[in-house]
Amino acid sequence: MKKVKAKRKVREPRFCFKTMSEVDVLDDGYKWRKYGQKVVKNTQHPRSYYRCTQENCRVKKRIERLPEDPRMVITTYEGRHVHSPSHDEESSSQASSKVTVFW
Amino acid sequence: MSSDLARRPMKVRVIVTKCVQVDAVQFKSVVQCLTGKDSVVAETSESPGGGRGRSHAVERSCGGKRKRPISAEQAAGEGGIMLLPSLDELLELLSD
Repeated sequence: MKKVKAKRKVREPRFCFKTMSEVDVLDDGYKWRKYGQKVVKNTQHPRSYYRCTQENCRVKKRIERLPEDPRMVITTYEGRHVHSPSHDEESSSQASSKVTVFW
Repeated sequence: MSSDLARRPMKVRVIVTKCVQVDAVQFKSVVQCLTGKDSVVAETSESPGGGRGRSHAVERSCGGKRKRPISAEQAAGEGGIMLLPSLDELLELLSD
């Protein structure tokens, strides 16, 4: 468990997603830039660290494989975006409260 | 250093991580729901009592296809750490 840095009272919510996928980086509608990679013990798959490329957005995510079942990708998100996702065309997957209508 | 600790009360900060299992198809919409701009689920970690109602609402609004939502109330419990649903439930979900 990561300790919170002193003088930084930010409790960012974290969500980890477990998905069966051959692809490590799943498309989530946001743009990311990789800033780190770390070898994980007892597994061939390293853990990669990504940061959202949107200005002022501090969301981070890390991607790794489940050691017990390498078919599963674990994506852990930290924080919340301050902007909408980069792709707006398909509104069918978005929340019902946000409907984009093109007439 | 040890004398310093004795004087100051220890602050314990809990970072709550919620785990969700989704398939690749639902991944994008669920991620956007939980980490997007207007996500309300993030607030529920503060108050488990009132939070259940809110997280339920989010599940309804995102990915309405799901018959059995991966609900926080199933295993929310004390720490706020949500456990993954059981394997049987997952298999059922995937076979839908």
